[in-house]
Amino acid sequence: MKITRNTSGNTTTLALQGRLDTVTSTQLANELSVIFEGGAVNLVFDFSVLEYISSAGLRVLLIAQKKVNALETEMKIIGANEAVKEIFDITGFSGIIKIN
Amino acid sequence: MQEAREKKAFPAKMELIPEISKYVSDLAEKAGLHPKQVIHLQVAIDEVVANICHYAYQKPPGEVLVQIESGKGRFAVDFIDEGIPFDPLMVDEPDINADIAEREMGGLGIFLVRRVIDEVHYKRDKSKNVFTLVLYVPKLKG
Repeated sequence: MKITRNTSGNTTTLALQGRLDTVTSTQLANELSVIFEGGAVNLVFDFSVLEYISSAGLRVLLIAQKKVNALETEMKIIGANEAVKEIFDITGFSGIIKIN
Repeated sequence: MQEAREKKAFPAKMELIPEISKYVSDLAEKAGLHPKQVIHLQVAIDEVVANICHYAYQKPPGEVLVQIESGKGRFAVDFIDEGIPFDPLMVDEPDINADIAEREMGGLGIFLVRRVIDEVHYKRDKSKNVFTLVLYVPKLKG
């Protein structure tokens, strides 16, 4: 998986390419720890070229959402394909994470 | 559709999940599964093999034998390991309507597998865990 980070003002966008699965979710978790160490930011996950997400990936997103809630910033997911959206719907994540 | 039986053993290591996933997906495509079903299968393989790597072997890595049987409208994949007995289907399902504060992550993987795969079976066969995913092959139109 490839992660591209872009920061503009107090919003950081992470574009993910490939698969957010058991192996690669650690990579995202590490990236997020670095971002959170830098202070309170709004997070945007660009999933336009993400192929699929597994429960390990969902776990990382849930932790990020909890952190964002505690910091009182915002987080959203944009561009998710049908397969990824389906996983959010099945697991009820559509109700706890903002998905555009 | 094509009838086929194939099997291949892999070391039960997380970093081999993509390779296992590709091996099964290629056969699934040949068997005539819909691309959406192939994605479902990939999501399920990630969860099932990760479980085996995590729980099945006290001294990892052991092996996971992947056995595929397709024909008669079904595409079945067995994941066989010789680790400690572990039935993922006995894990409690998470409350997917819980709000974020109460949201627990345990059991989410197997919950996903049960939702996207047509049939999911587990059996303990002597010293082996046998976990099976079955997908129904769509009938060709016309």
